[in-house]
Amino acid sequence: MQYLLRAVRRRTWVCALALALGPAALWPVHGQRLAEYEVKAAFLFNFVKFVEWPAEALPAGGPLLICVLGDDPFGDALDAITKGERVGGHETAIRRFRSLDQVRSCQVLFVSLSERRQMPAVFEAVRGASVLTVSDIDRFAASGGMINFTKQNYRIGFEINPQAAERARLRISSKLLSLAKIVEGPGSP
Amino acid sequence: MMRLRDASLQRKLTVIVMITTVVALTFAAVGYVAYDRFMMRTALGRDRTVLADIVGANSTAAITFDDQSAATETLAALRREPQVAVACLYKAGGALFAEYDRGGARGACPASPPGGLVDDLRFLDDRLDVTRPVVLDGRTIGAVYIASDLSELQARVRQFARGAAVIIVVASLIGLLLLWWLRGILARPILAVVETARAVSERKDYSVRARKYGQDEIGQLVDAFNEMLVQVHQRDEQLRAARDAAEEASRAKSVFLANMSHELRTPLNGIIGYSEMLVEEAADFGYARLTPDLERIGQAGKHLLAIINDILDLSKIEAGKMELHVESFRVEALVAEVVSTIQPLVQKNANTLDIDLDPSLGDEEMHTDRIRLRQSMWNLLSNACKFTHRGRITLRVWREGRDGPPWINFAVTDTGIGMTREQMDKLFQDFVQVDSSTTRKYGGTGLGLAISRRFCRHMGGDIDVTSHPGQGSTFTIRVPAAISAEAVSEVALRVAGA
Repeated sequence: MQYLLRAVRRRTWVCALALALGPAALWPVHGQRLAEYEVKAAFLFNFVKFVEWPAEALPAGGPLLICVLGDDPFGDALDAITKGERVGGHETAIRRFRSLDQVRSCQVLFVSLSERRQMPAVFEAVRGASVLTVSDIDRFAASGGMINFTKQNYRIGFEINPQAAERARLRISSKLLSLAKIVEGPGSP
Repeated sequence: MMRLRDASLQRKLTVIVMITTVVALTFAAVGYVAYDRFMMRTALGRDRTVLADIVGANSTAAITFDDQSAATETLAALRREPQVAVACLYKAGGALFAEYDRGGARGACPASPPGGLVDDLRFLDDRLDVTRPVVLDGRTIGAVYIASDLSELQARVRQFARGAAVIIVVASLIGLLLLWWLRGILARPILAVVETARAVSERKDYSVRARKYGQDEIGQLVDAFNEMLVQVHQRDEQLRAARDAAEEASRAKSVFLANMSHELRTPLNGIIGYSEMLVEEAADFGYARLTPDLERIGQAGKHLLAIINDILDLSKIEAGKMELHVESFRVEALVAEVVSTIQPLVQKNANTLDIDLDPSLGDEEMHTDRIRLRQSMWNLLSNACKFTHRGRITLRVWREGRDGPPWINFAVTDTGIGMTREQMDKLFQDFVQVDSSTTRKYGGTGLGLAISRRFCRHMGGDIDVTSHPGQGSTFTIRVPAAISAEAVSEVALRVAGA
């Protein structure tokens, strides 16, 4: 975790700016939000390390796409973290979508808060495809998503719906599951 | 080790076997204990390494997602392994992330893993430290450090060592017992030979044989030993037979000679007698010019008689037929008698004779064989005269022995030709004059000294000689003043073998 933050700080002008401009106290709201989404970006990226995609969904040597649907809350953090990084031998790339057209081509789909009302449509769009759906929409996992972020006492945690992942033929490592709160979603939609 | 050389065979055997046994067992025990310890340590090291890897693998998510409680929980599972004392989880920067301590103490983890975030395994006095990196997707994201307690392992080693010590002691005792039981196999035959040898040596009984127990080297020794005894025995028998035969022959010869005395003397007396008669008749009938030739016949006969007498004397002594004629007489008188008869011989070689009678003698009386003593003295004096020219001959007589029985010494000293040591050694042998040339030059039978010595010994004394070549000799007769009855018979026995 530390190393990722370090990577961020090393690599982006945002970081340089942040350092140069001193403690986050000068930007109370904006600074906190940035930190939170830095962490979430790091988590999002790290989730990938604990998930297995079936071969047809993630061919060997093929790129691993992390897509953001809706308003991108990460700023440059996600790009900074994934830049040049490989996971399991796969190159990583970031895509940003506003529509659901191409979401099935992603391995990871982050559903932004802005798409709250679109949740059922999103689930419909990815049904059957091996896409890891992550969001920080409240009760996302219980509604049929796979992972959603939670915030307790300034700590960022996450909830996981293993059944949803199973339905998408994704295997989530028990190590990740052991850190998460397990939720059950609705039956097969 | 020096003392071991002198120790009995059984002790040697015991010591050797015991040392061998104990050393071998100790080596074996030490070797096995060391091997066991090594194997245990290796196994433990491997075990802990695997454990660290498992813990690390299970902690990847916790480290990645910064979930300290989850990480601590994972470490806490190590409670199941009682020998694990401390476990620590570090993040990539080396910072401590989670810890576990068996005793529940806090702060047991070092600030950073000893040796860094790299693979490390080291055995300390009572602890095994294992450090393994935590790897996720090919990257090191942290390290696991586990410290294990070695006290159980050490206890096992100690226990093992104690057990080994007990086994060594027990095995040694068993070995001792077996040795006790079996050592007779080696020792008995040897001791038997030793005993026999000792017995033979002590009792001089060469008919004894050593007992043989087996056909090994000791058996061969016994055979050789017995063979030796047989030879000794045989040789003994042969020597005894030879000695008996020699003695018998010698005795027969002496007896023969003794018996021949009459046969030899009678004709000689006739020769001497008739030659003397012829001298007188020649003078009477006016054939005085025949006298010298006739006298020569007489002298030759007397000389021959003297020789025969000496030979017969000697043989009589050897045959054990010499008897002492003991009488009492005064020393002074005897000396005077001898001196008077020796005068012509003294003057013959222009010698002078000095008499030195110790005043302590006074009227000392001797009680021994006067005739033989006189003969011995006369023999010494005549020798002195013969072998000295224009010299001085001294006869010294003195009494010896203030307390106890008195002894009388008669010393004849001359300034004659003297003798070497070799000559002195040959001196008292029968028929040997100092060398053969002297017989021709000085006359005599060569038996005088031998006979004189036998006489003196018969009387309980002896004759001594000291001499230097070219300077002269001193012969000393030393006899007890009085000869006792027991001494006579005792000496007779001694002389028979002399």
